[in-house]
Amino acid sequence: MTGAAPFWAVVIAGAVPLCTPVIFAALGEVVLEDAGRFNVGIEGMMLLGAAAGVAGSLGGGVWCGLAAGGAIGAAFGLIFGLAVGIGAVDEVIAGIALDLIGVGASTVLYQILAPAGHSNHTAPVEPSMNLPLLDHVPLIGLALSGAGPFFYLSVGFAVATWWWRRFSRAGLRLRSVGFMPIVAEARGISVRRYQLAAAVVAGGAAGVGGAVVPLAGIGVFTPGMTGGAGFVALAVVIIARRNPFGVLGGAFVFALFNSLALLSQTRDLGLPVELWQALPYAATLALLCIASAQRRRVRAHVPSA
Amino acid sequence: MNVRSLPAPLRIAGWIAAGLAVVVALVMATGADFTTAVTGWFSGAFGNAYGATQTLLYAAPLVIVGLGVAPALRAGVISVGAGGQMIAGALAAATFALEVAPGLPAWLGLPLGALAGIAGGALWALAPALAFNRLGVSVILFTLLTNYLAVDLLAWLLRTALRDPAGAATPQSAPLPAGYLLPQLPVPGRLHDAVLLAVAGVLLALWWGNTRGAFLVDVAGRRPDLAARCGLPADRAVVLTMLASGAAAGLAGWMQLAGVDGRLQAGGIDSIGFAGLAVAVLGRGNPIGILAAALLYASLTTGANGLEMVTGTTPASIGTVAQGIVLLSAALAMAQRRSRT
Repeated sequence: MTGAAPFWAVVIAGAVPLCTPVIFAALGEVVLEDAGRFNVGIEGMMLLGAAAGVAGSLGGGVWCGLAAGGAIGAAFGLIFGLAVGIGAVDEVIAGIALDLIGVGASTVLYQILAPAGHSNHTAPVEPSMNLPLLDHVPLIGLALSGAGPFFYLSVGFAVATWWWRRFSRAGLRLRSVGFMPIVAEARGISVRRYQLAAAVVAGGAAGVGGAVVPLAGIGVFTPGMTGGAGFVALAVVIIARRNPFGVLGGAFVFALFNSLALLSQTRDLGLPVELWQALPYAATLALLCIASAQRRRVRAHVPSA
Repeated sequence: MNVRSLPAPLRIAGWIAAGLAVVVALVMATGADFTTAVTGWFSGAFGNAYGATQTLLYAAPLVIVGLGVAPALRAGVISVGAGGQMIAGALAAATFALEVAPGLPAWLGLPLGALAGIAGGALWALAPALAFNRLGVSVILFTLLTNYLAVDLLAWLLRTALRDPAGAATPQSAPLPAGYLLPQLPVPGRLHDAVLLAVAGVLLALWWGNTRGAFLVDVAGRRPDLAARCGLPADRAVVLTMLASGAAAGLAGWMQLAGVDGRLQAGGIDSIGFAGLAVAVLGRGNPIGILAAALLYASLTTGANGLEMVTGTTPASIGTVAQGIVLLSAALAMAQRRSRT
């Protein structure tokens, strides 16, 4: 543990499970923002997904749990989409309302499933994976040795999202809905329907991301266990500028700092724990300011935009 | 008579009642019958003196945060930064009390502590306002991110400079000096004097609502060019309303510090941010409406505690669910009116 390579392998190995939930939720938010919508309530949907994930895994195994998380997330995404699209509710207000409902309802669900005084049933968690060739790659081999199927699934989801929004007809239409709704509508694309579908997909992805938190780890739900991953996902989408590969990188960098923060609780890494935790947020803030300033400068050069 | 021709407050109340019916149905699904659900909630929120004081204690900071963000909402600025601003306010007040002037008598310590809280919250709110004006950064995203920075800053200071010298298992500061602690009102339970500030805040907001300034802020939210010609440029409206919301949240942070906790602690303070914004939306920016919404929100929390005690099977976190459902149904009611006109 004294050399440089093992240290970074430990840091990366710690970051892999931390970034998986964020990748799922952030990819969903990419799709939603493509449609011109924005959801601040991802955290609540993730918590619901986590609670449903544990319940589903207890009932029918770990994949059933993942599906249950996705299903409850999609259901709440539908509520969000209907409230904003048909009910004309401000999207921030709808997001806050769903966040409150998700935070509360996940705890309610947990306390009904595991009443105080009863021992917690541990749900089945994801199977471990052993990729044959991986052991021979020096740093990455050790770092990815703990990565399970959920991590590879999230990477696959990122590739699929990238391909879908770039090359599929529906993906192009979705982006046109967010980019210029009036033109899209004039071309015969139902803005409302695309936005509703995007909200369902985004909710489902947030629910799956939430389910990953307990099912890749301890197999037990605890209130508030997603620990702000939903808000991190929002920040990651900003850094990534809605690029799915950017989401992968951004989520990983966030997780890397979190992993360093966890490690710095037990050994001296030169900076206080809290600074390691704050760094990704501060960096996102800086990137956000730079990106906004650039956009403003570009707009200033376009006449009558 | 058409439902839509009812006056707005009645119709919103109707939607909220429909939302609460959903909550009651949920409570009944957890094994309580209807009467238990309603009486349990009432006994927790208002049934005895202790419950009623708890409800008022929860409602006071919600009123102040809600009143504070209302002008920003009128100007078209949505800030979710009340949590971070409350932390900044409490941090400033605690630093002043513990490090700068610990020996002050109460007649100086209380107002100066409150002022430090106001200054801390306002300063924390100034950054997103300036970033929006200069760079065009979204206020929502900026405040979401700075909430986390406030939490980390608080945790760091509680572990280092402000750490309780007596040592404690949880991160906390030393207790505030006596001159900085809010006296308690002579009522059953614990209710500090500063809840009266919530009433004063409602009166202040009622007065302000009819001034030229409030009118201009309204105009700035809808017709920025017109407001600029009347003497309130849009960027100044953003800075002023954000300063007001930060000052109010900082004051609320000081209230929690000096009246409830008695020392700086990690956690707990920031959870009020979303609820404060929700209260401002529910009250539609009207001071009396905000007061009513804050009492409703607080009673949902304390009522759910009572419900859990009465039934034993219904978790108290159903109160948070109820807050979300009420917000969603009220927002739906208000949006229907808007889309009709």
